[in-house]
Amino acid sequence: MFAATTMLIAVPTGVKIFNWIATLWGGDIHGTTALHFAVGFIAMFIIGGLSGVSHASPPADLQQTDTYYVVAHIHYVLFGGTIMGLFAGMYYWWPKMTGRLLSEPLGKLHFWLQFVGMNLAFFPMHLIGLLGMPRRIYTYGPELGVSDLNLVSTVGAFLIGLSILVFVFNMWRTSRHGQRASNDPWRGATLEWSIASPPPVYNFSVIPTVTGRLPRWHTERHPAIQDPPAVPPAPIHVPGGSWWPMVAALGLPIMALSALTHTLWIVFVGVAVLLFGIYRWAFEPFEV
Amino acid sequence: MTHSAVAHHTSMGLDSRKMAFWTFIGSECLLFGTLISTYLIYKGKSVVGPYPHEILNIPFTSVSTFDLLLSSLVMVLALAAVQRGDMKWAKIWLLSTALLGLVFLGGQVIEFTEFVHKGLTLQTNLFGCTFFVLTGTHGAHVAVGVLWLLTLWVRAVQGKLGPANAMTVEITGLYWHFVDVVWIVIFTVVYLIQ
Repeated sequence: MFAATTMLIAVPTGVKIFNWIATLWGGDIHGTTALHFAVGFIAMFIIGGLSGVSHASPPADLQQTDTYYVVAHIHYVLFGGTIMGLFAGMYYWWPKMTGRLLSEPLGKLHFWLQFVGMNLAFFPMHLIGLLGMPRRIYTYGPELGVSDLNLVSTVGAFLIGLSILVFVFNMWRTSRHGQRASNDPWRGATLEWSIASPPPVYNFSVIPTVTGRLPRWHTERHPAIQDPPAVPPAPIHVPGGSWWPMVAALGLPIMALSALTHTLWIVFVGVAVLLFGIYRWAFEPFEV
Repeated sequence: MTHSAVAHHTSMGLDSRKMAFWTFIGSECLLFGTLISTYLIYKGKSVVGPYPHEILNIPFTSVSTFDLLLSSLVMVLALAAVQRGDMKWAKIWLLSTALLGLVFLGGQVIEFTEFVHKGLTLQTNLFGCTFFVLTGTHGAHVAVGVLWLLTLWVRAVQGKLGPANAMTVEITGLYWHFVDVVWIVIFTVVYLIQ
């Protein structure tokens, strides 16, 4: 059963990988940091998928279960997959969110440090696991013969840490001296690039009419849409600002923390704050 | 609530506040659905007493049920009064609805106190656990409804509620009728079908 479901999950995973490759195929490729991370993500995720599908063979799985092999597998999937994907998104949408472009040279330094670091940290774990080191146990004897590989892993982990520091520095530097982003620094196909960076509170001055999947690109089937005007031609309804949702939200951590420390009366204080926040919130004007 | 905003219609031709409230009622159905299912799944599985047939007082709860049904009727009258601009009767009916809700809550307090004295608490057995969580959640909903109705009554007394805010009263009514309907289901499932 485990073997069958493990084999089965490889099917949608494979479909996803082809989706991503097809997305690249249909795209307009530039060697940006975001693209480095996106391609790194697909490549690392494929390695994680290959080590994952090896669990579908029961005799192999017996050897791999609860060893560092599965630690390697999960990190290729979660770190190579999710974290690289997250950074791709960060570099891509940072200018849209903040109005400033993250530094590309620093971004590429970040990518290469992280890419080399993660492979140094996690690839040896496949071998360490197959050599018999169990997961969740941090000590091992020198006779096991995994000391050198573990040292390589440690070096890789520090490289990952260093790469994150580069990213933190990049964020700080960008907030001070970052290049101002235009509406569309990437020549993007999708609607968010048709408006200012960062977007105005109302987002779109006019609701765009979309006819194709790549609305801002001129394709064989569809012409590119007009970017919405910078100034709204008619007044736009925007919900009024209100502090009461913040008060209501404050009640929740008070409730949760006091419940964790078993102090019932503070739980009720939290409930009161939450209810009072919601109650006053209901009296806020519906719109401004 | 204070602002008689222009009604924003959804593409379905329904006021967006009403649409949102129906969505909320949908999620409430799921909440009570899980609690009622949990009660039914653990029904008859208690290994120690008190058991339902020893403790549930059908005549007493029937009066509470009648009280809550009556409050729904009064709520309809309140909405009708607001819609035709008769604020004198709107005030009377809104306050009556809230008071009938309070009577129901009082009945629940008496019932729960009696059960605890007879040895049924949240920790006693599966019946106690599922019963108190289900009826307690419903009681909390009635309490929120009473607070809501009293708020509307205060706004009516202040002269801030009129036919322009009929939608607010209508949505309050939706909530109140929903809570009532849930009670009909609980009364049937828990009390009548033992």
